[in-house]
Parts: sequence; structure tokens; C-alpha cells
Amino acid sequence: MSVSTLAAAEARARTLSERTDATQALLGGGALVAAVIWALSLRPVDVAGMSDLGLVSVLSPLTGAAFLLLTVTFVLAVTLRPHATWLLLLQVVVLIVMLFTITAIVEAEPRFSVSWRHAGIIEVLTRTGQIDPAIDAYFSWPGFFALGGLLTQAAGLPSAIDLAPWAPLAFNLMYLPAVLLLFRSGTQNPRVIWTGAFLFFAGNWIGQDYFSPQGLGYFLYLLTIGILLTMFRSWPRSGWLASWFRPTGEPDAPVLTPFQRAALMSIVLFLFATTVYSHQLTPFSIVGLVLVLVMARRISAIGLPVVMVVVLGTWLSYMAVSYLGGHLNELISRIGSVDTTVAANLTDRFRGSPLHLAVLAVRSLTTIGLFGLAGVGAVHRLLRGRRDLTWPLLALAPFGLLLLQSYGGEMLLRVYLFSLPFAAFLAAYALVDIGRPERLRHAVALVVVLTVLIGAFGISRYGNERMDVTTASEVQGMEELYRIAPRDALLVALADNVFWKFTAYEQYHYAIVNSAARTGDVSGIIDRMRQTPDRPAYLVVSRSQLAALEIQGGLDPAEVTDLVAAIRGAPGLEQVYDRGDVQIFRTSPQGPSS
Amino acid sequence: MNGRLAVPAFLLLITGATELLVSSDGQGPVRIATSVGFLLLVPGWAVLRMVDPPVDLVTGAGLAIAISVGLDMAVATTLLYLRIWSVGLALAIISALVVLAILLGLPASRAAIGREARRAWAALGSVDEP
Repeated sequence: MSVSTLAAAEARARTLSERTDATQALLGGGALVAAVIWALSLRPVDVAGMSDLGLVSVLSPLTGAAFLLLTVTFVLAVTLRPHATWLLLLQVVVLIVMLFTITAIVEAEPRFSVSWRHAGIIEVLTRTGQIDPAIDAYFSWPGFFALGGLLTQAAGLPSAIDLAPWAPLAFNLMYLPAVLLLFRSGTQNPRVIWTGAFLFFAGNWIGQDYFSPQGLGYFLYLLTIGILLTMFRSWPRSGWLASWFRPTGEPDAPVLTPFQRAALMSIVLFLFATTVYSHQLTPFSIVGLVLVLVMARRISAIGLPVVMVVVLGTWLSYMAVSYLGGHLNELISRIGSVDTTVAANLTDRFRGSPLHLAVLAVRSLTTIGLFGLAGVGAVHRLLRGRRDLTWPLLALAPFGLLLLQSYGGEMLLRVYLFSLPFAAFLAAYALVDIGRPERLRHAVALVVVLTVLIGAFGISRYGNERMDVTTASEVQGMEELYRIAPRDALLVALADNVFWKFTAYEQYHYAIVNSAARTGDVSGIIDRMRQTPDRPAYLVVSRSQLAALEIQGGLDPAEVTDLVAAIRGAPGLEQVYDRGDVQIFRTSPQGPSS
Repeated sequence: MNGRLAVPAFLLLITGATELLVSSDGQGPVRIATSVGFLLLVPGWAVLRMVDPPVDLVTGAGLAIAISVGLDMAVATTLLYLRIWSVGLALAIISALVVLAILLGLPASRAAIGREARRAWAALGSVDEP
């Protein structure tokens, strides 16, 4: 080859490299522009005008345009070669910020009643300086709340609730390295890895990443499985298992020194132990998946499930015994009651206003769609000769939790969450490994699927926002409740989305009169307030509770207005506070119940 | 400064800054960023330097956060169970763990730990002494 030919080839390569750099810079810039458009579009959002469709009903079309722009740049980045890890990482981080910080920006106060309750538990721990398991179940799994207390006081914050608005962003950013580690253990194809990551976050509509033990536990769950599949990977060498669990192009397992191996296994056990005393359900999910991996001989640590069960059993037997002692029969009786579990998780949840039913339909369709794609991806892998059932097995294994109990009607949601990373991984195969991804038609189809998924995310995740949002007026009113009501009083609410218990958690008694409220039975409400005659009782009626009665309770606005009027006019009740979004009533000393 | 010492020095700096800000009861975004950054990253980062696992930067960050959270939680929960809770004591214990991990993670310490680990392993008959 002549010198001039070499020079020309070098020049072509340089030009190509410069073009690639320019394209990648353009796509990175596009993602940042999408973030700017998104931020600007959130400035005029009027949260008070939300319908039962939730937050999307008040978002500007510009917000949707920002997501579309981000999706287009992502699809181009994942389609074009060579792949730039920095670019894909940037795009997924921007996606996480855009998906999970909307409420922190547009809402004046921390949202979601349970976050307030968790802040209240942290307040008890830091105020009393001890853990009293007799208060309730939370105090038998106190790890997350102890951590919250440490973070709050070290940061000099007045309350842990100040951390809550940013918890979804923090948790999802924490999930990202764990998800990437997990996906990289299964393939070297960057298209699958990054599309899977995009699907994972756009499919994470469940909302368990709020300021909660399960939000943190999920991070440890993902990371534990990721470490095991990466660092302790093995394959069955003989028998029928070897036919169905074969290497299919995964990267080589890293070579570890004995010290690194021992240290990493210690880290796995340490992370597992952390979940054991911070959340009831997560360790069971981890044990289940580890057991599946050991049975399929996909990890070399065959004794690990036994050690995990011992750690879990030790905690339950000694440290959580005060809770289990009072609830063991109830918990055991629910094992295997799949019909009850399904009823609590599905049929009982499908009720409410017409728009809320639409939200529920979108949630169901999103779930079915994602798992449908995962099924297609799993079959595609098999047809392409990738005879490795690890990922379908991991996606299906969490469904075993349905045999345990209904988990307050939330088990199906948790099953979805625990299956999501594996389903997203398989769904990515369906989207970018079938056909020719570099063709325009394929790229357009991918943009459409991802955009639809993001739209469904907006409706599914923020579909309850009208009842989950907290207004400044409500915060003021609820603080007033704790000022007015003496210690040991009974506090009563109409719906279970009431945000209370954020202070003096252990010093009051609480009751929810959901059924009586739904049926407009004011005398029933008063009877409940008078159940313990010597105890003063306070009924709090707030905007978010009334929204819940409409959205989930199926009451129309007129019925809710009638209910409030009946409470106001009830002879047995005396109004002691009426400002903005909160009204507080107490039982009259000798008034009749109706 | 030697690159190998830059990270330990940075970790010690954040540790010291957090101790200083919390003990002086300073308020504001600097304290929030420093203390939250310290608690969520530094203990795990110090431990990871000791283990030196073959992982990329992103995975390393995830591991550092997970280990940090686990250590913070263990210290805070233990103090609460022992009824000796105070944020100052919790931070002092975590800072001491960080300093210990940094010392054990220094190259000379790591080499010594590696030698001891290989000897112990060889004594168990698992691998040959190199």
C-alpha cells in the first residue's frame, strides 16, 4: 500500500471519528435541551386544577415534547455505532431526573401520606433515643428509620420530611448502577443493556421509591443479585439443567483473588443483613431469587441461601418477636390463600371514579404490555439459540410471593417491582434484537414504543396525585390538629391517605372510618369517636381525604359535599378549626350521636 | 500529590469537614451537601479501596453507596438499641471506621492483607502458596 493511500485512509478515519464525535455531542446536547424544555414547562403548573387523571391533566404539552425529544436522542444514540457509554449514561440520568422529580418541583409540600408517617417514626427515634418495638411493626424493622434519623440530624434538618421530595430521584439514581451491573452480567450487547435500562425506569411506575424502607431495600435487592450474577456466576455442567442454562455471549466472569472473593461475599451478606432489619418483604425476595439461582446452578455460592435463611430467621426470632408474637397466627393463616390475595390485589382495587378506572386500566395495560414484550424477548432468545432460562426464571420467581399473603393488597405491585428488571432486560431483546435496529423504520418504531411507555408512566405513576398531593394549607391544618388535641386523644380520619403521625407518633390513638365515610354514615363516625368514652376524640377532614373518597371511594362531588355538610351539622360534633383545606371537629361533651 | 494518596486524602477531608460542620452546629446547604455526601459515599468508598474489586466507576459508585448506607444504618440502629443515641457519637464511630478502612486500604496494607489471606487460604489447603 502506497504512502498516499495510507494517508487517505487515515484522513477518512479521522473524518469519520470527528463526525461520530460531532453526532454524539449533538445527541448529548439534545438530551440537555430536552431537560431545559422540561424544566421550563413545569413552571406554570397549577396543581390545584388536577382531575382524577392525576398530574398529567395539568402538565403542559411542552413537557411531553421534552420527553419525546429525549426519547428520539436516546434511540439515535442506542442505534448508531459506535456506542458512547457517556452519552447513553447521560441520557438515562436525564430520563431519571425528568421522570422522578416532577412532583418535587411543582408541588409546594412533600407529597404522599406514608412519607409523612415515616418522618414521624424517625422523629420518635431521634427524640426518645431508643427503639420501642411495642409501638407498632415499623419498630421491629427500624434500620431505614435509624438511617433517616442519622441523615436528618447530621444534615441539620428540622424534620426528615425535608428529605422526602428528593427520595425518588436519589433512589432511582442509586438503582442505575445496580441495574447496569445486572444487565451487563447477562449480555455484552450495549443496545440491550441501555434499552433495558430505559425500559426499567420508564416502567417503574409503581411508586415504591418514595421515602421508604422498600425504596432503599430495592436498591440492595438489585445490587445483591447483580453482584452474584457477575462475580459468582457459574453454569451447570451436566444433566438437563446444562441444556437450558448455557452461556449465551455473556462477558467472562472477572478473575478474583481469594481475598476479593471472600470480601465480595461478605459484602453480599452484609447488604442482605441490612435489608433484614429494615424491611419485612425485601429479604424474602432476595432469598427466593438466590435459591432459584442456586437450584439452576447459576451461581457458585451454593451455601448462601442457608446462611441467608439463618440470618433472616435469627432476626425474626429475636428482634421482631414482639410483633410476630401478636400476629403469627394471622400471618400463617394467609399463606397459600391465593384467592384472597388476588381479590385484595386486583378486584378490590378496581373501583372508583371513571377517570380513576381509566388510570387503573393504563396501569394494567402497561404491565401487560411490558411483560408481553418480555415474553416475546424470551422466546426470541430461545429461537436464536440462546438457551439460557435464567432471565425468564428470575422474572417469574417473584410471583411465588403471592403464595405468602396479600401484603395489604399490594403484593401484586411488589411482584411487578421485583420482576421488573428481568422483564425489562427481556423486553429490550424484543425491541432491539429482532430485525435490523439500524434501519429507520425500526428506530421510529422504538421511539413510538418508548414514548407510549413514558406517557403510560405519567398516567400510572401520578394518576393518584390529586389525593397524594399535600397543600401548604393542609400542612398548617394538620399541625394545628396536634396543637389542639391533647396527648392520648383519638384522632379520626375519613380516608387512609390522611397524612398524619409526622409528630408525636406514639402519643395518640388513630382510627380511619373509611366505610362509614363512603356510605355517608355520620352517626357511625361519631360512634367510633366515642368508643372509648373517657378519651377525647378529634375528626380531621381534609382536602386530600375528600379527593380520595371521590377517586377511590367512588363518591361523586355532590355526595362528598353532602357528607361534609352532615358532619358540620351533626349535633354530636363541634367544629374547632376551619381554615383552607382542613376542618377539625371534636365530640361534644354530652351531645347525641346523631 | 501521589494519585494513590489523593483519594484517601479526599475521603479524610470530607470526613473532617463533616465532623467540623456537625459539631459546630452550622446550618445551610454546605452542611447538608457535605454530611449527606459523606454518609452516602465515604464509608463505602473507603471499604471498597480495601477490597479493590474489578468493577467500573459506575458500579463502584453503586457499591460504595450500598456499603455506606449499610454501615450508617448498622451504627445508628445499634446506638438506638443500646439507648445511647447521639448524632455526634454516630458520626464519630463512622469516621473512625472510615479512617481504619483508609489505613487498611493503603497499598502497603493491602499487600500485607493479600499475603496474609493467601497464607491462610494455603493453610486451609485451598490454594498453593505462590
